Order: sequence, then structure tokens, then C-alpha cells
Amino acid sequence: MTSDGAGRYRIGCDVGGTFTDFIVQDNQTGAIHHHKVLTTPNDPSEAVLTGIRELGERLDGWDGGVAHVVHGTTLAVNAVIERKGANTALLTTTGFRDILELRRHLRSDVYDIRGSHVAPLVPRHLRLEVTERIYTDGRVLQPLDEDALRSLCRRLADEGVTSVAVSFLHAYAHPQHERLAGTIVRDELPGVSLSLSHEVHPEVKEFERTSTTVANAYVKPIIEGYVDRLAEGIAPIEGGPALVMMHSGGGLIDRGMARELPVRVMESGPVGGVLQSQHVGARTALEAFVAFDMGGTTAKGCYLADDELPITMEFEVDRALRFRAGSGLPVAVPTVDLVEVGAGGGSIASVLDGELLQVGPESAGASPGPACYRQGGEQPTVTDADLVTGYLNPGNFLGGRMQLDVEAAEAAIARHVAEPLGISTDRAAWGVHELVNEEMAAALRGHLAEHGVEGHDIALVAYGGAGPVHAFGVARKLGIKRMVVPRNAGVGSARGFLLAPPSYQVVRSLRRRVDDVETAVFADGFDAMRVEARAVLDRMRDGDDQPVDERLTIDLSYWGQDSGIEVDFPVDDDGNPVDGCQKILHDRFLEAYRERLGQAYDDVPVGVLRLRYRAELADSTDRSSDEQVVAPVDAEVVVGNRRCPDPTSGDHVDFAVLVRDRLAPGERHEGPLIVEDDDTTVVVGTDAVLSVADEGDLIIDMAT
Amino acid sequence: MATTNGSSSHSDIDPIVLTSVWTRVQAIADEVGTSIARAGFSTVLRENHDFSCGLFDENGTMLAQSSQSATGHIGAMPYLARTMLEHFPHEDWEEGDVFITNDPWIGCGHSNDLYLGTPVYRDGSIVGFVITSAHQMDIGGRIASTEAREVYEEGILFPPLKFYRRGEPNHDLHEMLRSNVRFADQVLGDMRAQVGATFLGAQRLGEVLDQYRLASLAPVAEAITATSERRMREEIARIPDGEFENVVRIDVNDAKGEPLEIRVRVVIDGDRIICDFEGTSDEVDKPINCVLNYTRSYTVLGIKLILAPFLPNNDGSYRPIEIRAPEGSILNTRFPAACHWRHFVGLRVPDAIFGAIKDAVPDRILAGSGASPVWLFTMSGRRGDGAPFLLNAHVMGGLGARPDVDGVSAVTYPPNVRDIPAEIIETETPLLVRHRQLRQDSGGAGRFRGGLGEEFSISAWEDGDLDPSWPVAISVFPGHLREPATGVFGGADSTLGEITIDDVPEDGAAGHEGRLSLGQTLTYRTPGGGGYGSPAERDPQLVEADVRNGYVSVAAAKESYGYKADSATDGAADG
Repeated sequence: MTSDGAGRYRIGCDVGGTFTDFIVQDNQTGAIHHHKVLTTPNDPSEAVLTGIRELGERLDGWDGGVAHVVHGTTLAVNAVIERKGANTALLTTTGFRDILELRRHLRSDVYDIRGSHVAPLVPRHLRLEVTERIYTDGRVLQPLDEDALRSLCRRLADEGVTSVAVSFLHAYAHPQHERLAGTIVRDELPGVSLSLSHEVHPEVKEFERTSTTVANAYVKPIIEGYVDRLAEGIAPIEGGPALVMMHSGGGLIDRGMARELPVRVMESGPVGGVLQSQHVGARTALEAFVAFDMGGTTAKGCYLADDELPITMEFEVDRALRFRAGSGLPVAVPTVDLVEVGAGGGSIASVLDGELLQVGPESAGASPGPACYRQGGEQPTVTDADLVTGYLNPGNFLGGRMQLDVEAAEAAIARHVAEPLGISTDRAAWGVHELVNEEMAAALRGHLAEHGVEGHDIALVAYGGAGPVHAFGVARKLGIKRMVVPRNAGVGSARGFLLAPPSYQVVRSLRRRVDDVETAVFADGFDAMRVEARAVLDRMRDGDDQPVDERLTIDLSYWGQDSGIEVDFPVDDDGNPVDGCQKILHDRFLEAYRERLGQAYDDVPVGVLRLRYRAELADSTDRSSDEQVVAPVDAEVVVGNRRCPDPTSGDHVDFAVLVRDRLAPGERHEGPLIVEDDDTTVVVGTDAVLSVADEGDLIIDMAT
Repeated sequence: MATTNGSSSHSDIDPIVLTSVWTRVQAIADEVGTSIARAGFSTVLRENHDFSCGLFDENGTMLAQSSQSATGHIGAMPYLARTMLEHFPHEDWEEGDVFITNDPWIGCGHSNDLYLGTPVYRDGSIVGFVITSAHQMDIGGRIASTEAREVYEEGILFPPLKFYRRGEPNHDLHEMLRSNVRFADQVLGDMRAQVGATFLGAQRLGEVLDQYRLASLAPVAEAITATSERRMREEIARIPDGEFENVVRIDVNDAKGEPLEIRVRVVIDGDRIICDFEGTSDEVDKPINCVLNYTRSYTVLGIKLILAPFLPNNDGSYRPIEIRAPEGSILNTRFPAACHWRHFVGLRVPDAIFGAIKDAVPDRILAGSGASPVWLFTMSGRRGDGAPFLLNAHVMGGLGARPDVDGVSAVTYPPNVRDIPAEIIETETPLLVRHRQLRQDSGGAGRFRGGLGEEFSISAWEDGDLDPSWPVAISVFPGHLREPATGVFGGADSTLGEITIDDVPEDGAAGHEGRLSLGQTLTYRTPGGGGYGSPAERDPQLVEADVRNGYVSVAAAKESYGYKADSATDGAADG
């Protein structure tokens, strides 16, 4: 970041499939500016730089006024999916080069015998074995054969390898051979990218660590080039704005870190929306809620409680079965824990065997799009159904920028849904809306069940273009009693990027019984992690006095169980593990286990799985990025009414139609209601009350 | 009343309500499953998902089953509610009652699988049932003995009883169980979690009825099962009629010293299938016998895998499949034969069926799979300080080649169980993993090649923390040590599996048990899968890639495919 804290503008930039979105926050006036340019798929940095240049032409005081550009990119993940990464080699311990292919023995779908594993990023002939072996306790059973490694390197040069991953057994705890190998590879293959497993993912389990390291190696040369081009591109702006990158765990890192560990930024896209929801949840005092996003092709859900981002280490890219866990390449870095399903406004409705309504998995996407777009789409989609039911106003789509064709939507639904089922078009449209709600509710139900949460104990925050249209029906199915629709709920995720703090999380394996670990071992482990994380944050500082918030936690389980519960580590005022922490940890684990699972056992040893250290820069700039509350337009709020199906029962009732930007804080309206906003429409059924919060968020409470 | 006429109309159900409720009941079954896995103590539940949840209407017709269900349950669960109703008709139930049984002949074939079920009430009447099964970490007896001859040796047996009455635990049964199992707190804890999940399912089913204003699940169940039945019948009708036979030999010998055989005659007759296992070997005095429900599971699984892999599991899906297995055979064993390791025989049933009907559906089957059966092995011993350790893990063979692609190497099939990483083995036991790698040339050659097996080598090494006076006990039920996984349509058979200790072959076909002294190394080499189609038809580029990547040796490539070592460079490759 710049040393000049007075930077006026902060830019958030998210590269999407069609558009590259920009949000600019003006710290002087509090204004928020939006901008959009067409994405340039061959080199996404072109669109980013074009957009920034155009913004500079539009806004005053640009030179010298831009503090930094917060950027999220799908470039790394796309390189993996499209197999456009570097020609990569893998060096492993003798006897273990096949780990990438053996995976964990699992098939991703027990009923699918025709599928194959997603192809490894490194073919077998480029997976080479190095003579070396270190045991779990650090003993060297076989010294590294340096000469042999040097001759392997020459082979790799002949193969035209441009990136090398090294993953040796037990390197997560004993990295000396990996370090030595790294030195030799650098020496023999200057200019080749290098990824060492103990640096990329210092955790036990050779498949996950190796997979993550290989993914890093595979995309590293591409990301290096990309961020360098971006940095060069913005360098001419006076004041030298910094380029910072959104990482998958919901925070920001500097570009140097992104170059070194590109796996950390792979899943930054969906994070923006979650961060924005987290912010909305906090300002509307929600303790626990699910952030629900529904766009054109997919819907996502993310459970948040106690203002914490849920982090998983089980992220995968390039799933052979798109939404099926276990079918992709593990990238075990801290990643916001989301559930995703292929249900969106573009999902196509059809009738199977003349009797069964289906929605998806096929999607009309943005092109040809729903029938009502009149862009060549013939199949009925969820958006068509939302239009025919009357929830959507054909003249208000995308703020009126696109006129929807109701007749085309009706014709598509009549032909492909109503007639095969022998029901009316109205009923068929309702059925499509209802079924896609049921499918999204099923996905959220599974996500909540994994967290041990029931719908009636939580709220829902709805966003995305189609989210607020469907959220009410989904919430009712889950027993959720309160839903919140933030202002600008239909706008993309770049907005959330501006809410992200510089943060970094380090995770390290430690697999021992908690009673057997001396306090000094915990202390040494956390110290090393602290040094690593703080070095990352130090490069992001606005000034020396900026305090760091840190959190030390530990994953514990009953000895022998493989999935753990994260509990806070007991530390003193200086952040060091306290004496007697073992007993405290034992008790905290039992308490957490009992709280989550209803019972606990005190006759089974408790084991440590991993230590986690998280640090965040307490920020001097205001990241709240709340727009000023715009005074409501002084005009009639209720502009009419439409007869539509109630989202719970399907019975037709009269909905009052409201205009969102005429709603004033404190207003209350009883359902059924349709609230038309610029980029979305909020549907509220019967037995519910809408109230407008001070910041303009809509809060909908359901009676039963 | 428990069966419905498959062709009956369900026009009284609104199609929108039908699809929405169907989606919902499937989600509920999955939610209940997640709840069992999440709250479970044992690794079998948490990691290997050895559980199942079935939702039923008031007549015992199954509407939905959890999609993560262990494969052994798919053919058994549909029968559970009716069996329960035979023992406890409607008038014998009260709200909050929980039924229990682990009788292998009612459930699916071994006593570790514990079934719990509860009714769903609305307005004082039963409107449905929720039944869950979960593999318990211990149920008493000799743990997983390969020597058992009778089921009495395999743990405590619960006939159908009430485990809870009106929401309250049956104290007598709990105490009885407590004194019969090891780790009683954890076992009872897992059962409590299972009870909680079962009640959750009941609550959820009630919510569905309320939301959709339904008085009964029966019309929905009828519509769901009729639809699924019709779809399965349509799939069957698409394949040619005929009678097809096959024999699969299993490595274990019968009392006369002959290999055990699964004999199957598959009759495809219009829109139905009959699988008749007449001629299959008699039950044996080893714990590998299958109860009929287990045979049902793997018979319908085999047919599902090739005809309708994504058809949901419910009472209708398998009505068109008739299963006949002679009583007293290894596929329909009688009480009290031992059956804990029934997967050793039962997992071969899909292979037997594929081999039979391969000519009717050449584009859908797999060649024989070295992956089936899974090699489950255990190693146990003492550390230097006398503390015991136990390793329960698997090695896997290769999947058979497919009509359009090679088999997957070293993969779990038909069930889905995860490996234990070498780094975890070395961290949690004193053993040393020497290597774990693909086994070159182990897949049968063919137009498409069988998946490779793996080679896993592990040592009771001298510098490890082992009690030198206490050899490491090893046991495994392997597969294909004598009989290969078979190729089809000219594809070659797989290589055989091998077990060695210090490179000396061991005979372990009928189950291998032994001791590993300090310094010795045990190696398992699993079989690959069989090939599909003639090797002569293999794309030379695939042969070249196999050689380049070392999946196939140059020598084997020359022999099987007529490979010329320099064919890639001079461009003279020809098939």
C-alpha cells in the first residue's frame, strides 16, 4: 500500500466471464462509482487496464489519488480447467511418484463406472523420483542424492519444463531435503519456476499436499506474468498505487505473495459477495445466517455465524462432475466454505418422459439466454418462469436496460412444460419457480446439515440478480424466519473486495495426542507461523503503528478421527501459549464437541490435527464502503399491484408493487409484495412483514 | 397392500407437487445421512459413509434413500419397513418409538449394521417411517474374525425390538448392549446420534406433509415408485431379449477342494430381468456367506450401474428385477452361517452379471475388475513400550476397461472407501511404508486396457518403535490370487494379485493371515482390470503413451500390441 494514507480512491476490480466490473470508492465524498468493460479473455489484464484508464478520465483527482487496486481473478483457476498452464514436472520421494494418480482411492460418484479421474496436471513421465527419505520423526533414512538430482534436472531441461514442483514425504515437518532440492533445481535450471510443498501447503497427507503444490507450479509462470503486466500498467498513475490481490480466504495479499503462491488466489471470485453479506449481516445484527447468491448459471450458499468467515481447506478445482466433491484436483489452501449448485436464472426447464418436470442441469447462460431475451433462446428458463408468474416486470429488467418479451416466455413454457404435463401455462411457470427453489433449498439444507444448523435458527441474506426473486420461497422451505435484502443486492462482487482487510492465514500439521505435546512445541510452532504471516502483512502496511489482530487456533479431534473441531488456543497477553494449555485444550474440545454433537467422551484421548495462525491488519482506512444513504425519491412507493402465485402455497394472490428507491428507513409494509430494484426484484409472500432499515436494507420477517 | 401395481395411474397427484416433494424427500434422506456421518464417532461413519437412510410411506413403500448410502444397503433397505411392520403392525406403535435390529437376515448381511426406525405421525395416525442403518464400530464377539463359522461368534444379535418407547430409551436394552461391546460409550454415542438423525427425518417428513397439505405420503410414494419403475422398465426394454449365463470363480475352495463359484443366468424378457443364481456353490464354514438381502443389493447395483446409474433408489426402481438364489448357497445363506466378510463373495456379483450380459449390452459393461473385491487388511502389534497399535486399511486393484476408455487404476469399486496416506500410517503406527505405486503391466491388454493395480510395501523395520518380541500380526482378504479379472471381447485377463514377505510369495487366496518379524517387509500387489476388445485394435498413440509413461513395459507392449520401440520417432506405427 502507499505510505500516503490520504489516498482518495480505492478501486475494486473483478474479472467475470462477460464483464470486468469496477467499483470505485471515493473516500473524500463517500460516493461509489460503478464501471464495466468487456472482459478480454486472451489477456484479462487488458480489460482491467482499459477500465482503470477510463475511470481516470471520468473522475477528478485521479493522479495521486488512487491508493490501491484490489483485484480478484479467475485466471489461475481457468488455466487449470483449460489445461493451459506451464509444462510442469514433479519431483517426489522414491516410490511415491504415483500419488497424483492414486489419489485417495475414491471414485467421486459411487454409481458412475464410466467416469475417470480428472487428469493429473503432470503426466507420469514428468514425475521423477529422487533418492531421499525422511521419516515422520525427522530421521534421515536416506540422504538426498545430489548428483542424481542434478542429472534429473538436465533431463527436465531437455523436456522443456518451465515449472518444477517438489513434494517429498514428511516435508511438511522436515523440509531440509526439499530446501536442498530447491537450491539444486534453481542452480541447474535458472529461470524455471519452483514450488516446494512445505512452502505451499505444509500439512500431512501426501496426496493433498502434492496436488496443491503441483497446482501452484502449474499456474505460477502465468500469474507471475499477469500481475507483472498489471503492476506495470498502473505504475504510470501518479503516486504509484499498489496492486493488491483478493485471496480465497477473504483477505488481501500483496502481489509478490500472489506471484509466489498463486493457489492462494484461485477462488477469490465468490468471496466478494460473501464479504458484502458479512458486512450486511453485521449492520443488521444477524448472529447466524446463510448468504444466498443466485445469478445466471449457479446459486451459492455460505453459512456465516458470529461474524466469522467459514474457512475450509478442502477446496478443489476442475471437478469432473462440476459440483461433486471429490471429483477435482485438491487445492488445500484456506478458502471460504461455499456450496454451489447449477441453478440460476438461465437454467432450462424440461419435462422428462412426459411426466417429470426438471430444471437444469443445462443452462441457456447469457447466450442464447432465456426465451424472453429474444436472443435466440427457445428453451424455457427460470427467468422465463419468473416473468410469466408475474414476479418480474418486463420493463424493469436490468434497471429497464433490457425489455423482456412475456409472450416469448409464455410460448416457451407452454410448449416445453405446460403441454407435456397437461397443465396450464401459469401453473407450469409456478412449477418451475417452485422446483428450482426446492433444489436450491436441498443444496442449502446439505450445507447447513454439515454445520449442524437448522433453518429456523438462522436468517438469510439474499443477493445476485435472481437471489431476491427466489429467496422467500427458499427461506420458507428451510424454516428460515428472517431474510435481508441489502441495497444493490443485484450488483457484482467487486464491491465486497473493498471490504476485505489485509490478512493471512498459515496452517501447519501437528499430529500428536494433545497431552504429549510440550507447551514449548506449541510455542515454537506458532512463532514460526507468526513470522511467516507477519512478513506477508508487513508488505501491506500503511504505517508502522498499524496494529495486527491475530488469532491462534487449533484443530482437535478424538485420536484417530480425521476431521476436527477448531478451538481457540489459550494464550497470554503476548500471544504465547500458556502453561497447562493441554488441559485447557482438552476441556475446550470436549465442550465444543458436546455443543455441536450433543455428547462427548472423556475416556478417549484427544489428538491435535493442525495449528492455525491468522493475522489481520487493523486498518486505518475506512473499509466500511457503505454508500451514503440516499434520500428516498419523493414519490408514491406503491405503484400498482400484480396477481402472482404466493411463493409458499402457489395460490394466486394480489401483490402490491413497490419501488425500492422510494422506500424510506422505518417504513413497514405487509406481504404479499414485489419490490422492484434496479438490478433485481424482491418477492415477499403472504404472512410476512417488510421493514426498511436505516442503511436501506430490506428486512423481511415471516410470521410462521 | 405393501405392493402397488406398477402400471397404475397417479394422475391424482399434481405434477408440480410430485416433483417438488420428490426433490424434498431426497434432500431429507441426504440430510439424515449427513447428520449420522457428522455426529458419528467412528471413522467408518465419518469417513467411509457406511450408513443409509430410507424414507417410507405408512405401508412400508420406500420413497427415497440417501444418495451417499453404502452400496450394500441399496437392495436391502426397501425391504426393511415391511419386515418391521410384520413385527410391529400400526397398532403396536406409539409416537417416539424406535425399532432396533441388526439381524443379518433382516438387514444386509452382517451384525455390525444396525437398523433403527421410527414412525411419523399426523393427527394420531402413522403417515410414514424413517429407517436408518449405520455400521457400528463394535458389536461384540470376535472382531471381524476370518475364522468364524457361526454368526454367534460375530457379536450380539438384536431381533426386532423397541430401543426407545415414546421417546424414552429402553434402559434394559441399553445396559445389555453396554456389557457386550468394547468402547461402549462410543458405540452407544453413535447409536444415540443415529436415533437423533432418525427423529430428524421424522420431523422433516412431517414438515413436507404440512407444507404441501398432504394427508398421507402413500399417493406420493405410489407416483414416485410407479415413475421409477416405468423408467427402469423402459431401460430394460431397450436392450435385446435373451438368456445369458456366466460363471465367476472365487479364490476360496469349497469342502471338496473346488473353487467357489457364482453361477448366474440372466433372462432379459421385455421390460423385466430375472437373475437366477441356481448352481452357485453351497454356503461354507467361513465368514464369507451372503444373506439374500446382500445378494439383492449387489444384483440391483450391477444392473443399475449399466442401465440406469442415476435413477433414484426407491421401491419402484428394482421391481422389474427378479432375483432367485438357492437357499443354502453362498448367495442365500441360512442362519446361523457366519457372514461378516460377505463382501468377499457379494462384491463379485456385478462382475458375474456383466460377464453374462456382455453381448446384449456391449457398450455399457465393464470388463472384469481387479478392484473387486477390495483388499481390506489389518496390521497390529506392540510398540517398544508395549502399547498396542492397529492399522485398518485397503489396497485396491484396477477397474475393468470400458467400451470407450481404459479402466481406472487402483480405485475403490463397487463400494467407496478412502485410503490411509503413507504419512498418516507412519505417524500413527511404528511401521514404515517402503513404496506405494502403480503396478506396471497389471492391467489386461485390449483395445482399452484394464486399470492398473498397485504395489504397496510396508515394513516392520528394525529402527522403528516396535516390540522385538512381538511380531506384527497381518491379515487380509485379497482377491484374484488364483483367478484373474477377466477381459472381454478379446481383451486380455489381468495379472494375478500377489502377496510376498521379503519377496517370497505367500499363499493367501482363502484369506491370508500371518506374522511379520522385525525387519521383514510385506508387499501387496493387487490385480489390474481386464481388457476390453482386441489389443490389435488399440490406438497406437495410446500404446505409445502407455510406454512413455511406464504403465506398460516395452516388453509387454511388444508382446501384446506388436509395439516397435522406435515406432514413435519414425512415424511408422501401425495398428
